Amino acid sequence: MWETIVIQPFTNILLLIYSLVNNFGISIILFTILIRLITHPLTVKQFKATQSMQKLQEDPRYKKMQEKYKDDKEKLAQEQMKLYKELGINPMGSCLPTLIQLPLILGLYQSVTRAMAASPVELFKLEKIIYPWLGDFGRLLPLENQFLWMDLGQPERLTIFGFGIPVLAVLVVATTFLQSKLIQPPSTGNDQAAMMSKSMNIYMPLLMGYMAYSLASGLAIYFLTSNVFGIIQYAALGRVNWGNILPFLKKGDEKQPEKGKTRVVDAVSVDVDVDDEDDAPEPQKGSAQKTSSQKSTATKKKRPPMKRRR
Amino acid sequence: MKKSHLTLILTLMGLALVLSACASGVRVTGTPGLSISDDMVFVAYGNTMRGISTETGFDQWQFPEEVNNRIMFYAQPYVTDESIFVGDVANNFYKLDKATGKLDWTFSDAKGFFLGKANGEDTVVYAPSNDGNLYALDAENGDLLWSFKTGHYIWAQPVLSDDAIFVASMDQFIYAIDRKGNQIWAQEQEGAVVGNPALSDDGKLLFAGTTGKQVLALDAATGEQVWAFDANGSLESVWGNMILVDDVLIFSDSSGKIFALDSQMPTIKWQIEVPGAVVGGVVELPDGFAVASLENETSLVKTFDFDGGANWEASLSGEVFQAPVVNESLLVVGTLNGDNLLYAYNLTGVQVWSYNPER
Repeated sequence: MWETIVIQPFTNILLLIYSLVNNFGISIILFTILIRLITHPLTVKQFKATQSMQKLQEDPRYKKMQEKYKDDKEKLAQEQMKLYKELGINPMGSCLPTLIQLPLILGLYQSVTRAMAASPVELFKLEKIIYPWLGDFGRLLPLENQFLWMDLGQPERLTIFGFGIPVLAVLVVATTFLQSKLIQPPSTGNDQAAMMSKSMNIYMPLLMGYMAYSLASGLAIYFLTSNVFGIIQYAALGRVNWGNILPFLKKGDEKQPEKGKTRVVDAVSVDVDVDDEDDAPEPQKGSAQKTSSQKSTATKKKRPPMKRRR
Repeated sequence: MKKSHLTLILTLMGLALVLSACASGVRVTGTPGLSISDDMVFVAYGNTMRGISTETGFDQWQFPEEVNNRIMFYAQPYVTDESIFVGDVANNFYKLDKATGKLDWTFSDAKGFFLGKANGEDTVVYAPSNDGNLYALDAENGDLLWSFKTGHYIWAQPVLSDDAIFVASMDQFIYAIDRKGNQIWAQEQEGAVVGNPALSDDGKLLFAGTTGKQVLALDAATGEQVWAFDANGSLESVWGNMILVDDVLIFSDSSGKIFALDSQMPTIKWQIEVPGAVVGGVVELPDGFAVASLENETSLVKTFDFDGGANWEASLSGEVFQAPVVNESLLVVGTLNGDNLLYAYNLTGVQVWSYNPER
């Protein structure tokens, strides 16, 4: 089923691209971009849903109910559902597009693996799934496995002065880190979410880097292309937070707190400072390091709101 | 460590495992590589290379003695009177003692898997690699004598004649090289050569089947094509080995058709068909030949006389991708994903034993 619906068509598209460009490395790049373009509407939907959820978390009513029902999870859930309904938000809205995309991305990965066929058994199985009506692709097999300095069926190493340097693995770590940092939304003041996000920024690049280091370089090219295209995609949607990696691009009072110090900001001040909202760029609205909404709400009455720098 | 961190790490580890599994674990999938001598069957599969008694089907030795998960074997071993030469997918090529499985030497300078069967003569062994090289090694100590680079994997066993070494590469070229590793000629084909080419008795013609749905005869001295056969367009890919018996070339294609051709000109002497795909090709028996065909995850071993008349057959579970191996009294076939790894039959078709390393 999975084979017929996903792997077979994907592999045939990949072979079709290969028959046009006659270079497997470039075929992987083009194929990855193609699939990312096809799933682009889902990505946009996911952005919008995530954005709505973020805005919701800044809603005073939402914060109020968090505080009010913090000891009654059931009631809190009921109230949240009411608010979702009222504001027309689907709480699963950001998950569904991801869930739909996941099998496609997995299929993309598997079809690249399948097309690399590094043994007679794998090549025979590849030949068997080629659509006969697409042309005599059998004559193209096995696909050319050399791309730049790489053997696409082997883990990549660039030998310089006798040292095998895993260039792709390094690039995959860097781009995965960049991607996760750049698309990281402004903190919504949820401590646990922020921690989780921080951990992901560290572990995910390392995991991807390890896989690029140890798996065939054809897959590392797929990881790299996917990351770079992901960044471009987010940038095109205006959802890249350059300030996350280039602090001097941060505007207004969005300066990072000093290392080791927690900067407590009055969350409510965002709602009050209506003037500021006009100045701040849309995605970063009210994002001024609200590292802990619950803490900040608790401290609201004790501390005067911090003034924003202009 | 915080619980959330631990959960995250475990999730990512799980993801890594899933994705690694998607990439075939050790990055390649293969079938049992089989060879046979008078008293032992040699099977290279998974983490070990094993010597098994032809009489009992019991292990005689295994290499390495301690299982090493980094080592995987899929190549068909090349067996001489006293030694076994076999490569693994960790890019190592070994010489083992045939009687005990003890390691003699290891060659580790290749940059690709070893999936093809080696060949040898006197004190030189020729090892084909997935890095596109044919390595000529000193059989005594494993020293590299020379290497010959082709454009893709080499899966076919090199063929030796008095004048040249013939190498079929997956770059869709067949090469003839001299015994110093210099190219004599290179001839491009329409499709890759996976199975072993065959050389005529007088050494003048080289025959090869291709994934380009052709069988070719090349002039062994010049590489010029003498004839090409495609059964008027009905031939499918030829994946397996072919045999030459009294100037009759017998081979099979991936749709199960078996042809016997006059080797001097491509006229069909007879044609038969078996159900399923024949991937490993044809193996010669004392009084005929055998093929193993594959259909819907089950396989059929079928034997014929030299005129294409059917003898005995046996069905077995699992997929067979390599031609059976045969000695004077036994036919052994290796399966992938079957109930057993090996099945042994006497030459009248009675199953003598089966072998499963798990048991």
